[in-house]
Amino acid sequence: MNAVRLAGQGLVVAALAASAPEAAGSGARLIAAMLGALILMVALGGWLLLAFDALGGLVWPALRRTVVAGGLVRSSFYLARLARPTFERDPTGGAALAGALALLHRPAHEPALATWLEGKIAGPAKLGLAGVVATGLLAAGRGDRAGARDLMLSADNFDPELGPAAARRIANEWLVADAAERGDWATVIRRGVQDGRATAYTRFLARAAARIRGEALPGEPNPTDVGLWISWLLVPGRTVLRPLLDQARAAPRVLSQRRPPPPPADPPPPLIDPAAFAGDPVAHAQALHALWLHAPDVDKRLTATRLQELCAAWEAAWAPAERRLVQRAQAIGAQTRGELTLGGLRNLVADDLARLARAAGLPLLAFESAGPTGAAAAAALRRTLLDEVEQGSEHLRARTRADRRLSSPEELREWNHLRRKYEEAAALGGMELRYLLFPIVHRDACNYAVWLWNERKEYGISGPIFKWLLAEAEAVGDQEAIALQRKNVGSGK
Amino acid sequence: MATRPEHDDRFADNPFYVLGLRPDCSRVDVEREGQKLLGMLGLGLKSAATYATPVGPRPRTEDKVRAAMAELRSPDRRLGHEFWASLPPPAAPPKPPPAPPSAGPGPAPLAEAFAVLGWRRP
Repeated sequence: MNAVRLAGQGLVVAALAASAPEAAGSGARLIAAMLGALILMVALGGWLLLAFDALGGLVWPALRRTVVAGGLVRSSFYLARLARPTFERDPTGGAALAGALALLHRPAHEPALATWLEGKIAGPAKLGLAGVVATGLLAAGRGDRAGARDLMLSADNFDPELGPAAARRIANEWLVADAAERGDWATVIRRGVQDGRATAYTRFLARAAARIRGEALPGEPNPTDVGLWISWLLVPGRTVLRPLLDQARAAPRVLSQRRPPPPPADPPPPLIDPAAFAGDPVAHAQALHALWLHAPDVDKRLTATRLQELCAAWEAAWAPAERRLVQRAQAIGAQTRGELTLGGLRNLVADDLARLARAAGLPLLAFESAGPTGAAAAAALRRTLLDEVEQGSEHLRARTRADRRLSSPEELREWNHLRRKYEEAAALGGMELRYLLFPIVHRDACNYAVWLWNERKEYGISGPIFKWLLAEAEAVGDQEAIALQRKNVGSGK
Repeated sequence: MATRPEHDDRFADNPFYVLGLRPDCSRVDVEREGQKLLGMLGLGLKSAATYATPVGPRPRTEDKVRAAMAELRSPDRRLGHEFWASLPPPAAPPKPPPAPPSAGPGPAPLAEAFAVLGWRRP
C-alpha cells in the first residue's frame, strides 16, 4: 500500500511540475519533475519487491525440481538466495541446503564440492536449522549415515517458528527414507504423517506400511484402497513404489490398533550346530560363541534369552575347561598355570559378551543375573559405557575452559556424539547409570551450552542442549538442575 | 598366557586352523605342516590357498602360516590357541545362523528409498 501511495504522490508531483506557472522558472519545474520521477521509481521498485515476495514462495519448489535435481551444486547454492521467503531466517543455511541436495543428486560424492559447501556453512557465526540439515546431507553423502541421522534428528529440536519449514521437511524425508531402507517401518509410520514435516513421499510410505502391518497411523485411520492410490499418485517418481502399493492394497484393512500375530518363521540351518557338541560343554559353549560372534545382523537376531543361553553354556564349560587347560599346560610344558590362563579366557569371553549385548542393544539387567559370566559381561559393558561418556564429557569441559572453538557443524557433531553415548548408556544401563552420569554430563554440557550461547551466539545449538538437559534433569529428578535449566530454556524463548 | 586377539581372530585366524592341525598335535607336526604349506603356497598350489574354520573358509597366505608357526612355538601362547581350536572345522560351507521371530509383519526393507527422491544412497 505504501508503494501505491508513493506512486500517487509521484504522479501528483510530476503533474504539478508540468502545470507550474512560467514565472516559477524552468529550474523549479525541472526539480519538481525529477522529484516526481524519483518517487515513481521508488514506488515501482516497491511494487516489484512485493511481486517478488509473492512469487518467492514458488522459487524453491521450481529450483528443487530443476537446478537442484540436475545436480548443479554451485548454481543451486547461489540461486537459492532468490528463495528468500522460504529461507528467510537462515538464508546461508538455505543456500547450503540447496547445494547439499544438489550434491546428493550427482551420481557420485564429490569431496571438493562438499568441502566448498562446508566452508560456506562454517562461515557465519550462527548455525540455523537449514545449515544443520545441509550438514546432515553432506555427512550422508560422505557415507557417515549414523552422523547424518543424528544431525537430521537435531532438526526436531529447533523451534518450529524459527527454522525454515522446507528444511524441516527435507530432514524428515531423509529420516523416513533411511528408516524405510533399514526396514524400520515403525519409524516410517511415526514420522511419515507428522504435521508440518510430512511430504507426499513420506505420507505414502507411512500409509502403505501401516496398511501392510495392520496398524493405525498417528491421528488418522488405516488407509483405504482409494486413499493409497491417491497418496501414490501424488509421489514424484512413483513407479518404483508400485510394488509397495500393490502389496499394501493386497493387505486387509484393519481398523483397530491390534496387530495380527507374526507368522512363525522357519529357522534356516545354523552356521555351526551347537547341538552337535552337546556332550562336550567346552565345545558347545565355543560353538554358540562362534555362532553369535560371526552372526550377521546380530542387533536383530540376538535376544536376551539367547544371550542368557550363551552365558549358561559358558558356566557349564568353565570347570571342564579348567581341567583340560591344567592337563594341557603340563603336557606341552607351559610356564603359565592353567588356572591363570583360564582367568584370562574368562575376561576375553566377558568382553565378547559385552560387545554382543551392546551390538544387540540388550540392557544390562537382561543378562547380569545369568551367573558369574553374565555378571562379568555386564560389569565390562557398564565400565565401557561409563568410560565413554565420562571421556566425552571431560573433552567438552576441557575445550570449553580453554575456549577452543570448532566450526558450527563440528560443534553440533561433537555434542551429538556425547548425547548419543549418554543415551546409549541410559538405555542399556537404566536409571542406575543415568543417576551416575547425569551430574557429570549436566555440569559439563551446561557450561558448554552457556559458552556457546554467550560467547558464540550459537542459539541453534545451545537452545536444544538446554532443552535436552531439562528433560534429563526431570527424568532423574534433579531439582537444582531442573530449576537451572527451566531458567535457561525460558531465556531462550 | 594367551594373547588377546580380536574376536574375529580367535576362530578365523587360529594357528591350528591356519595350519590345518588339531590341538593335540606335536611340535614336530607344527614345523612339518608349516614348511609343507609354505612350499605349496610358494608354488601357488590352489589346494593350499584356503583353510577351513568353524566360521567358514579363509584365505591362507605365507605370512599367516609363518605367524601361526611362531605362535605355536611358545607353549604359553599355544595353550590359549588350543582352547579356541576345540571345534573341528565343518566339512560343509557355512550357513547363516537362525533368525528369531521378527518383531512384527511389515514390508521388506525398501532398497530404493533414497532413489525415489533422486538422491544417491548414503
